[in-house]
Amino acid sequence: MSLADPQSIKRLWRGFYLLLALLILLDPKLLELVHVLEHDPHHAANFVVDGLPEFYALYGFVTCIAMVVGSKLILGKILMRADTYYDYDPLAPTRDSKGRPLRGKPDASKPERKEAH
Amino acid sequence: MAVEFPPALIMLVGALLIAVSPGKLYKGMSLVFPALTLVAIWLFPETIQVKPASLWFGYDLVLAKLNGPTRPFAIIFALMALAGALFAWNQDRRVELAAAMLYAGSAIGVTFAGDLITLFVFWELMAVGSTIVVWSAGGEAARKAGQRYVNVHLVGGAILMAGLALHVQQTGSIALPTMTMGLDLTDPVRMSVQGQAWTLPLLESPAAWLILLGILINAGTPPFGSWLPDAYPEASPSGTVFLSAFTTKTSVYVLIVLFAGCELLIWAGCLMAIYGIVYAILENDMRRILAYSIVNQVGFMVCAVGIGTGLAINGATAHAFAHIIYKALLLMSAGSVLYMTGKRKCTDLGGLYKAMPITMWCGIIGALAISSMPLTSGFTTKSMITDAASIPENWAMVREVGGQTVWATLFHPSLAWFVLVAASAGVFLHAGIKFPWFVFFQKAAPENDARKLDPPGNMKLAMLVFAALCIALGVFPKPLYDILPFQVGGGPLYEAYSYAHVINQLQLLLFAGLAFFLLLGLLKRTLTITLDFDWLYRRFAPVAWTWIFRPLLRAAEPFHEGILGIPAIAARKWGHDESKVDYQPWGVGTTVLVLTIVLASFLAIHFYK
Amino acid sequence: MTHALLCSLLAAPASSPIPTFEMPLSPMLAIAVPLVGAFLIALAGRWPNIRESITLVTAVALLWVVGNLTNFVEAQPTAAEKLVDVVPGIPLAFNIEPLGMIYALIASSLWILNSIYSIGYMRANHEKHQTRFYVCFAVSLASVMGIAFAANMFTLFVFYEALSLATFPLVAHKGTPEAIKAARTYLGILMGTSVFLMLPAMVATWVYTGTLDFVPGGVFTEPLAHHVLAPGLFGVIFALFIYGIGKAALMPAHRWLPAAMVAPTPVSALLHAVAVVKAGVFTVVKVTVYVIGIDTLRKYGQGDWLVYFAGASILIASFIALFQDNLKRRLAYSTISQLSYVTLGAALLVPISIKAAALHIAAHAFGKITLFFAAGSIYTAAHKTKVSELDGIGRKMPWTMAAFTIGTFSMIGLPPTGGFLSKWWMLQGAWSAENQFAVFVLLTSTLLNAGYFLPIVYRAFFRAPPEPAHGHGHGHDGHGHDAHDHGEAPFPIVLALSCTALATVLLFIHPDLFAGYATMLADSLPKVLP
Repeated sequence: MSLADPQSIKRLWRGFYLLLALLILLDPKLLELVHVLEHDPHHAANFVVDGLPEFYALYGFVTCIAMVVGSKLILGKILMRADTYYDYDPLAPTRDSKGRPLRGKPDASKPERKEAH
Repeated sequence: MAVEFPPALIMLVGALLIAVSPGKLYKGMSLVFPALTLVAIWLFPETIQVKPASLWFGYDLVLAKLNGPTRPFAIIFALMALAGALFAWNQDRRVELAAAMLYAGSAIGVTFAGDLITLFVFWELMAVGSTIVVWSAGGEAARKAGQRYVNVHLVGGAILMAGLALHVQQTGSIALPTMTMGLDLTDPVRMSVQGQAWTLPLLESPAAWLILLGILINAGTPPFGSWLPDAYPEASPSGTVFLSAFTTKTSVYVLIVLFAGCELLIWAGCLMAIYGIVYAILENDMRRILAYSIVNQVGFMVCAVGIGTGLAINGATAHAFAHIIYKALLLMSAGSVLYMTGKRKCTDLGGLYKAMPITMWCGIIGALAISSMPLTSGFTTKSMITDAASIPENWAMVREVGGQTVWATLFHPSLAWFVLVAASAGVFLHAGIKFPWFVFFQKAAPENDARKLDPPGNMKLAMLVFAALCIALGVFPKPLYDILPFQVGGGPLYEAYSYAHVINQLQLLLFAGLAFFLLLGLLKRTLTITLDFDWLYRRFAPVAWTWIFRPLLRAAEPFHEGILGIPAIAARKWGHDESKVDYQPWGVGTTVLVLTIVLASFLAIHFYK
Repeated sequence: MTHALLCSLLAAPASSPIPTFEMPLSPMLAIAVPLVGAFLIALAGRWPNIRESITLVTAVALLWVVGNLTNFVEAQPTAAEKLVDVVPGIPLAFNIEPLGMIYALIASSLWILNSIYSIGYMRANHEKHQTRFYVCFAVSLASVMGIAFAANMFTLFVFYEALSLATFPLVAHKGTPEAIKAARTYLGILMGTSVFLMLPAMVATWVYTGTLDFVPGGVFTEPLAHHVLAPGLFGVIFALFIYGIGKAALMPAHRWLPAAMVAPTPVSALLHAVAVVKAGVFTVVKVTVYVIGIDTLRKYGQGDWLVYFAGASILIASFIALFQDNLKRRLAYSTISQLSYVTLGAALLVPISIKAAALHIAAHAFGKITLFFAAGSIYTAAHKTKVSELDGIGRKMPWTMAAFTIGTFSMIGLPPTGGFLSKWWMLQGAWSAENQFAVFVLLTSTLLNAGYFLPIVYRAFFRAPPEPAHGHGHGHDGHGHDAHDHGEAPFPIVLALSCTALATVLLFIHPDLFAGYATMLADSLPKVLP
């Protein structure tokens, strides 16, 4: 099975969906509801929502979507910059603020400064 | 044979010897000394306190003793030093290894410290060692990152020192508190020093705030922690492996020892957990992703320390232990990729699953471990933390308001549990799948991929050992549980494997995985970085200096010169007449030196009469 | 076994045998010994080896005398020994007390090391007028001893001026026009401040209190209590004293120190890292404690301004140091900054900060002299004076740069050096005085010190040395060294700087000698509450 083969990809996806479906069916709270499993006091609901069936599946899915959307579409829009952003150092400029190299400047080492008192 | 000296000394001596030993001898030493330290830690007697012969500087120091969490932390630190040295074996990294031994040794020194001054001295030495590790990667980026790193750590250390000075001045004591379990593991731990209650976690004095701030800077808490994703990726492949283990986990140790039960930590930890995930999602450099992941995982530990029950402290300790192993594994995997391909950005990587099978599998195991997949070390350790958080009645403060009992916490205590569970899902997102996916998969490998890119034997061995350890601790966690600070008699310390727990965890993780693949389009890597709080001192401050303050100073210059009217020539040109200097060895002869020695001996004899 | 080894490593020296001299020697002997030595050095001018031997013998003898005196130090100053009544009621008199002991000990012990260093340095660089050099050095040390053991302000003033005069030829040593100009700046500022500011303050003290003696708790309590002296005028007298002590390099009276860097490095090392500058801050602490009185000053609220001036001095000097490319000049500004630490400690007016100030006199001395020795070593071996030229020098001069690194740690206040200890007490002093500004200054200064010292350490060890431009050598001495291909400095230089670096670390492991005197000093302060 080669990962490059679209057929195998399809098969992997099918297996994955099967696994997900299995997990939905095997949910402990669901099984308690239909009396397949005994009520487990050790894993009773601490907060109302985590006693509902499929809570973890839904919570994992939703929070991950929220985190990706929140970071990419909200935070990212504000804070993302090109990864050469910090290459411009106002204290030791080897490039100007647009990223074009300055002429005749040695790279990296601190230039001689005016001697203050 | 009883070990009655600080085990850290072995490592520090090793650092010195590695720095000065001739030839390739240092490589063997880099394995021997951590191993010896490990033995010394194991043999350190339970109840002794190593103290100097008399008061030092007026203080009653306790150079080494076993505090509650000392053993697990010290053991994993020594093990980490050993594995890191093994990983670096094939490269010529003498300076880095010496610095790493200093770093690891100081971290062990912190864990064994029995008083605040000893703790602080080793804490500062850690900063020295880690800075040299960053710098020894060589190159401009590492130099600058190292300079920023050392600045942050010196400021953090100075803040911690100021806080400790105030604390010692107010209480007159440098003693560390003793931690005892409450009624059982679900009860908050009790901290007392010399018979009185230990009040630092209540944050009632400026000293407590300063000490906490100093520690949180080292723990990587936003907004003070942006040094972590800045500096860690700039170190060498082996350097980052060393760096990932000690600074942040030592902060967790010190938080446990000084601030267990401090409520602010719960929310700081939650913030760290979410912050790490959010930034990691946006990141392109694979080692920066893992660096933000450190912040995320340490957030779990910090939150657990804030919760402060016996189970939570055990959880924080166990999690730290497991985290060091699987984070090192992930960084070794990433480091191997960097070492063999020279690439670090996700946009450049992918399609390596055929060329680097061992690296890939080790990376996958590390990724599963960090995600707390059942059968890995993450599952048996991190679960303690979420379990501790799940019953707020055990740990959250309450107060009476108009006859009703309400929560006295900053936020509703259930928020902690919900954030931690969301973060557990998010870990799978950014580290569990994202890291292996973008580094090893992402695109198809060539048909007959003949590239043999797996790294040299020592690196593979280090990865395999740690991968095995991840699985072993997942399947058989008892040896770890046995060294946790709070033990209960009769029966296992903690049961991670129950039907509900396993199924719920699998649901959480796999549906998070589903979200990942559905949103893969959004997660495409871009050649970007995300601005963090270090923007303030990397861009804002230099720009303000260049465009505002420096021109102001220059404008004031004539005024300054005129008032004092002292010619600058004398001040500007000094030193020696450079044209006529000749070098010649000293020719006085030994007579005078001998004379001095004789006289000095006379002096000494007189003193001893 | 390791336990015993560790214990012996950390055992306080108090447990080691103390010299048992029966009779105390006179502090005047400590002044006489270097003067006699100076005379003999002058006589032996034509025989360099004998002349150097005399210097070393004198230095050891001086340490021996001072060592003897250490047995008789108590918290309260000993009875004054009068030499002569210069003006009726104002004698030249000497006594021993803890602060003076710290100063005398560091000066005398470091004179030996500095002499070894000077011998190596002066000869390797073919300096001229070496006899004059060693004679002036000895006279300077005599003046230092006079300052350290002065029992009243007049004596201190006399020897303080003598020190300025004795060091003038040393600053102007090279004889070039620049050197002479710098020396004139040097003398001008130092004499100017002392004559126009300190002398009037002394006169005022005499007028209002009738004495110039050093008394724990100060001499102003009576006049102030009886309203003979207004608190405002008292404050002015204090300010005149502080700025009159130009050697403490409190900004803006600091310009003489960078100017003095024109002198050969042994001068910069001993005098302008240890003897002269420490005379300044020693006098500041002495005046604050024994003339003005810290409780008096606090009670009348006249000393607050000094905390801010000293703090500003610390920060500004460090800031300027960031921009200096000349190594000695950078060290000079660092010295100005570190001296203001001592002034800050005195200004906080609490016993712990006085202790911190006293300890810092010692801690800084050892650290800074190491740094200056390293700078001179680099000059001697590699002929480099600028920080930007120091790439890779740590590979070729490992001992020098290792010592430099230890000195750096001491300046930043990192363990395991003495600088950490004084910083710890200084922080406690700042908290004790409830002065958050001082805490802020100390924290910021840590960062600034790292900012201008650590890049040097980085360059030295982590950068590759620059490629040699040409192949020409500088003459064919036995080893064919030239400016681009060099190794370590000559042995005496390396020996001296290794010893001072070791002393810096030893001060951390065994602080009880100097910390003990500092504590004695704090204990001697009368417990008067405002």
